Amino acid sequence: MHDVVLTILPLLFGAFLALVAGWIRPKFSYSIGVIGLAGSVFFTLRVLAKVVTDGTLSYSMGGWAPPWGIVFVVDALSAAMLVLIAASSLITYVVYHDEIVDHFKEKTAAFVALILLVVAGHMGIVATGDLFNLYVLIEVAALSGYALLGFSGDRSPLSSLSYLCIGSVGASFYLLGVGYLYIMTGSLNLADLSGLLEIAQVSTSLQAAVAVMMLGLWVKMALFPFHGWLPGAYSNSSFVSASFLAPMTTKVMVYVMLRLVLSLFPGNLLDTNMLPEVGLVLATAAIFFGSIMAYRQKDLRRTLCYILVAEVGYMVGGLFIGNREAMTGTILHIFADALMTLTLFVALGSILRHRAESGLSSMKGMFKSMPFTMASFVLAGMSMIGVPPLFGFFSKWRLLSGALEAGEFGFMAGLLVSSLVNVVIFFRIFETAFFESSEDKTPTGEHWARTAPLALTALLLILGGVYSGLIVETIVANVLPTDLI
Amino acid sequence: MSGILSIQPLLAVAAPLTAIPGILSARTPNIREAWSFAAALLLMGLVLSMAPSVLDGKTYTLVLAEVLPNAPLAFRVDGLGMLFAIVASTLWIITSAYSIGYMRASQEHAQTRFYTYFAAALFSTIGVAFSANLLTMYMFYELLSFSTYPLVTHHQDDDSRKAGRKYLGLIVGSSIGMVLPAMVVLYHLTGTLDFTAGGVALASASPTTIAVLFGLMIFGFAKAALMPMHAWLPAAMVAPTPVSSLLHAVAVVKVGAFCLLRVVMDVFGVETLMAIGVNDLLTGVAATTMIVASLVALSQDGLKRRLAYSTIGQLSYIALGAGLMNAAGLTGGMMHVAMHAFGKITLFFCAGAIYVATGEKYISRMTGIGRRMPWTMAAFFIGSLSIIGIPPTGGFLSKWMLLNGCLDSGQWILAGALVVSSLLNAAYFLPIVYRAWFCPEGQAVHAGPVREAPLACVIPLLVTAGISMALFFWPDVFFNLAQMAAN
Repeated sequence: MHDVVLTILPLLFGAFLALVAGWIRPKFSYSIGVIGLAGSVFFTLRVLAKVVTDGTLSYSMGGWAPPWGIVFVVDALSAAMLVLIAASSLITYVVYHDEIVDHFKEKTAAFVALILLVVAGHMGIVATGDLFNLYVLIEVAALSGYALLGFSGDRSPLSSLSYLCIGSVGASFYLLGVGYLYIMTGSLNLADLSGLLEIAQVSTSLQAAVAVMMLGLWVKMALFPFHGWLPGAYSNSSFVSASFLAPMTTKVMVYVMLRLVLSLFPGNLLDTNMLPEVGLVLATAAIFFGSIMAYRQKDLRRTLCYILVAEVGYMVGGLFIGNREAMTGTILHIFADALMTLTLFVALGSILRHRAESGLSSMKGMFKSMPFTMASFVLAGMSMIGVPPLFGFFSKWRLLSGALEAGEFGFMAGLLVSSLVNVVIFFRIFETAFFESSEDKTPTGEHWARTAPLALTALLLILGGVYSGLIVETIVANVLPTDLI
Repeated sequence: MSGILSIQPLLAVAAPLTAIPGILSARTPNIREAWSFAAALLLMGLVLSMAPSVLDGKTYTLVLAEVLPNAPLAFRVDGLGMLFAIVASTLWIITSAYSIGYMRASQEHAQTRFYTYFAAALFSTIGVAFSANLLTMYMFYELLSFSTYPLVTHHQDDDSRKAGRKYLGLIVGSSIGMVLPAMVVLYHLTGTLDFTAGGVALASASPTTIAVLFGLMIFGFAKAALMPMHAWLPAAMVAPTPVSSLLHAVAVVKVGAFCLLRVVMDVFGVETLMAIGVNDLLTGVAATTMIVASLVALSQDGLKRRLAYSTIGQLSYIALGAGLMNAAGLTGGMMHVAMHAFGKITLFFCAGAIYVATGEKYISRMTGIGRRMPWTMAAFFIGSLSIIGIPPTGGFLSKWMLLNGCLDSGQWILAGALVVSSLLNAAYFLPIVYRAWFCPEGQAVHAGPVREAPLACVIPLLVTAGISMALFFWPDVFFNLAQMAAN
C-alpha cells in the first residue's frame, strides 16, 4: 500500500476499533489509541525519510488521476508537518494516560476515537492536494475538535458551541472562496489550479476569492481580531483536550495559508491587493494584543492561550513580509511554536492535575514537588522568550532579520516587546514556584511515564535550535521558490 | 594567526557540567563537594593545556552547529579568552573551598542546588570566554543570567525576590531589548557575527548607525554595570557571599566587561570607532561611572554594598581601557580583568569570613575586628591595596597601564579621573582597615583573643591575597595574553 495513505489509515481504523473495543473494556480502547498513533508516527517518519531522499510523493485516491481525482501530495515540509502532528499527539496521549482512562471513564472509547479523528483530520489537511478535500478535512478536524473541547467542565459545552459557530463561519468563508475559484477555472486540484491561475487575468472575482479564503483561514487560526473563540475554547474545556488541539490547529492553519500563498496564488497576485499590508498590520496587532492580554490573565491556562494568539501573529507576520528570511522564520516557527506549546500545555496539565485551581498560586512549591515537569516548563518558557540555543530563538531571529530587511520596524518592535513581556510572564510563574511553598496538601509527584515524554519534547526544543540550520537546508529550502530573496 | 581545529574548547566549556550529575547524586556533603573540586580541577587542567599554544599566537577553533548562515555556534580560544578563562577557572577552585567553609558554617539551606547552579554558571562563563562570535557569546551570556538567578535569590525570602527581579529585569531586559536588535542589524549589515581582529567591515553603514549600534551594545551588556545600568549589582548582594565573590567580583561582572572588550576590539574594531569618535562616549560614561560609584561607595555602611559600588567603579576602569582604544589602554583594561578579580574576591571572602565568624555586616560595627581576626584583616588590607593600585600588588600594574593609555592619547582629564578615583578608593577602604586595628579601647566593638572563621574560609582568602601580591612580581602570563590581544 502507498506510504502516504499508511500514515492516516492507522488513525481511521483505530478510531473505529476504539469504539468497538469500548464495548468490551474501556482500557482496550486506550491501547488501540496508542497503537494507532504509534503506527502513524512510524509511517510518517518513513514518509519523511523517503521524501528527503527521493523527493515529493503523491498518491491518487482510488486511482483517479488528477486533476479529476483527489490527490495527496507530500513534500519535505508536509512530511515534516505530518511527523510533528503525529508525534506530538502521541506524546500528549501517553502523558495523559491516567486522565483519559480514569477521568472520562465510560466515555474513554469516544474520547479516544475523537482524538484519533482530530489527528487524522489535521494530517489530511496537510497532505491533501485538493482544495475541496481540504475543506472537508478542515471540517473533519474541526467537528471532532468541537466535540473534544466540549467534553467536560461546566462551561466547556458553551465555549465549545461558540467555537463551533465561529469556526463554521470561518470554514464557510473558505468554502465560498473555493467556490469562486471553481466557477472561474473549473478545477479544484491545487497544482492544476495554480497553473490555470497563472495564465488567468487578475480579476475582481479572483481577488474576492482570495480575500474570503484568507478571511476564513484567519478565523480558523485565531488571528487577531478573529481570535475570540480560542481562549475560551481552550481554557474552559478539559485541559487534556486543549493540550491536543493547541499545538496543532493554529499551526496547521498557518501551514495551509502558507501553501496557498506559495503554490496556489500567482506570484504577482499579492502585489496587486492590500492583503499583505492588512495581514501584517493584523499580525503586529495580534502580537501586541496577545502579549498584553497574556500578561493580564490570572488563570494560567488563559495566559498560555493568549500567548498562542501572539504566536499566531509571529507566523502570519513573517508570511506576509514575504522575503526568504521571514518566510523561513515563519516555517521554523510553525515547528518551534508547536513544540513549545506542546511542552507548556502538557507540563501545565500535569501540574494542574494536583491542584484545585489554576491561578498563579497553583504553581507554589512546584520546583520542589515536580522538578522534572518544571524543568521542561522552564525550557519551553525560555524558548518562548527566545533564549538561544532553544528553537524559539532561531525562528524569532529569522523573523526579526526578515522584518529588518523589509524595513518593517513595527513588526520588529512587536517581536521584541513580546519577548520582554514573556520574560515577565514566565518569571512571575517561576518566581511563585520557587519562592512560595504550597499550603495545599494534595499529594503531588511525578511518574516517569509522564515525565519522560515531557523531557523528550524539552530535548527536542534544544535539538531543534541546534539543528535549525539543517532544518532550513533540508526542509525549508525545498519549499521556498528559488527566486525568492 | 593560525587556528588549531580541536575539541579542547568544547571539553573545557563542558567540564563544569560534569560536576552536576555527581552533585545531584552524591549521598554525603563531602562527596558532593568533591565533585565540584574534581570538575574545577578538570576545567583548570583543560584551560591550561591550551595556554602554551595560545601564548605562541595560535588559536583553537571548533564549530559546533551551523545555526544561521555565516553565524554558527562556534568556539575560538584566543589571548583575551584565555586570560579570562584562566582567571575564572583558578578562582572557581578557590571559591569551591571557601564555599564549603561558608555554607556549612552559616548552615545555608539547599546547598545541593547551590553547587549545581554554581557549576552551571561556570559553564556559561567559560562559554563566553571561548565564544567565536557574537551569537555564541550572547547565548552563553543569557545562560549565565538565568543560571545565576537561583544563586542570587538563594535565601528565597522577600528581599531576594525583589533583588532577583531587579537583577533579571535589568540584565535580561537590556540584552533582549538592546543587544538582540543591535545584533540583528549588525548581521544584516555585514552578513557575519564573527569576532575578527580589527573588527568587521562596516563601510556601508553610516556613522550614526554605527554609533547607535555601539551604544546599544555597551549599555545592553548590562553586566558591565556602566551607569545607568548598574542598579542590579548592589541589589544582587543579597546572595550568599561565595556567590557575591565569585560571580559578582569575577564571573558575571567580568563577563560584562569582557563583552565590552570584544565589542570594541573584535566586532566594531578600534579604527572604525575612533573614526566616528564614539570612543569619547565610552570613556566619558566610564569616567563618570568611576567617580560616581566611588562617591556612593563612601556613603555605604554595609560592607558588601560598599564592595558592590567599588566593583561598579572598578569595572569602568576596564571600560575606560576599552574606550581609550590604544595599545596601553586596552592592555591595561584586560589586565584589570585579572588583577581586580583577585583583589576583589579577597575582599568579598573577607566580608564573608567576618559575617560567618561574628555575624557583622556593617562597617560601623567592625572597629577593633583586626584583633579578633588578624589574618582576615591582613588579607583585607592587601586586597584593598590591590584595588587602590598601590604596589606591591597586581592592581598597581593594570592602573599603571591605564594611566599610560590616558597619557598616550593625551587625555589629561581621564588621567585625572583615574587618580581621583584611586584616592576615593583609598578613602573608602583604608579607614576600615585602620579602625580594625587602631582604635581607642573604648570604641572597639570587637576585641581579642583571636577567633577566626573556619579554616576553609581563611585559607582561600589568604591564597587570593597572596596571588594578588604575587601578580605584582610575576604578571607575565596575563600581561603577555593581554598584549597579544591588544595588538
